[in-house]
Amino acid sequence: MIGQDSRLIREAKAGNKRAFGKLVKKYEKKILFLSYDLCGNYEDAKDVAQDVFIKSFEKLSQFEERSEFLTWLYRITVNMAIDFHRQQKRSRHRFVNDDLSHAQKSLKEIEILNPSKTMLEELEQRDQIEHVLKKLSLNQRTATVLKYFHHKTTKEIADIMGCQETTVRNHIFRALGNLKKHLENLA
Amino acid sequence: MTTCPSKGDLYAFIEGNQKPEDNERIRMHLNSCDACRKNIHDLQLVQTVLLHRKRPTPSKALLNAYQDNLAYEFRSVTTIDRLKETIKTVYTFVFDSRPLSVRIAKAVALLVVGILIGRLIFQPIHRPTLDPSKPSIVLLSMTPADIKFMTDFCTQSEIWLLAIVNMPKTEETDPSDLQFNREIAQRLLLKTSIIGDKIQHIQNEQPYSKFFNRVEQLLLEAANASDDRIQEVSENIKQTIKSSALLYETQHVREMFETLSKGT
Repeated sequence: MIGQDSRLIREAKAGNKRAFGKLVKKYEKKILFLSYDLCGNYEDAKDVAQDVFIKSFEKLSQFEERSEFLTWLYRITVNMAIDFHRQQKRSRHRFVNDDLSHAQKSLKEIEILNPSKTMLEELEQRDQIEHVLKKLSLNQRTATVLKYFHHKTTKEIADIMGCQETTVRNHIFRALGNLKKHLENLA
Repeated sequence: MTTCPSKGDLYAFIEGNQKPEDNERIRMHLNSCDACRKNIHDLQLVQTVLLHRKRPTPSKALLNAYQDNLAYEFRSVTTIDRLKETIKTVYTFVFDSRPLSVRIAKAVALLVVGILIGRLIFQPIHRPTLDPSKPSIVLLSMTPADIKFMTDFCTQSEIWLLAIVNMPKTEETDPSDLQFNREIAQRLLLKTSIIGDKIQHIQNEQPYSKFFNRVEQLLLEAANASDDRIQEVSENIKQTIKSSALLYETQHVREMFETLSKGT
């Protein structure tokens, strides 16, 4: 699998967009899901994930194949998600009803997803954990998401986040403590 | 009761990242410390919640839009796609203009540019000024034997040139074919020296002298090619013939001598 990736990467580096297209096909869902875990809704996750692939193709010459291609894509996704949150913060000052639009997006998604269940039920079930995740700092959230939803090792997370393994452990430990508090409050 | 381990140590204990002796120490401590036991229990509970979290699936419409966008962005661009893109750009450039006069002006400008480019690309091949139907007086004064000699020489040269031009690609060429072509070139080269000796007036007749000099030059290159360079030399000759009108000229000169021989 990795050998096949290397061949496709070599071809893509030589300007073969189709070869890169095959890599995109292979990892598009993983990147969309990571973007969702970091952004909190699929509309924004879709935009972030698309930008991840476009940016990764532009910067492919800088990929030295010291880590796995997916790890490199994860690193770009995390950086793009950070940029996205920065922009969100700025635009929140401009748009007062930002949260409202997010809630509307969320409802829209559920409506399309499963019209048979009542929206409120669905929201209650899935939004509790999503809701408390949003309360974590971006670093804590990133480390937690990579650890528990994408099953990465501490070393891989450190590589993706560009920090020490001890820092990752601290982020996750603090995140678990914060999540506990928030879940208790909800209960 | 021993002192409570740090939160980091407790987390490492849950993760199983501790050294065996540290693990044992914490395990011993947990037996006697309710607060730490509760802490560990809570952390494990949160971990369980996280591990059992089900990510909502994206709507089909969103997933399709996402996958389609990526597939379009990273599609393979064919020559036809580029052509379509160019046509679209040109169409937009001409027909998206508001006033009709501007549209017409743009269309005319494009037409002129198109003609100029077309003329540059499809330049007429330079044809030699050899006219087989009108042989010069000097050629008319040649003896029948000389005319026959020249007809044979031109026919053989034409066959040799055709053999070189139709030579297969480099990797598929049979070495014995190359050597055979070289032998023919050596024989024809001998005949060119006879042309030089016996038919002096042809050497002084333009544009025939130019034509014979060019054929002689190619024959000389082919005849002197060593075994290790024969492939390369043949390929060069092939390119020279293809890029010039030599084959066409040979055909005309042969036709001219055939007409002369019929006259005699």
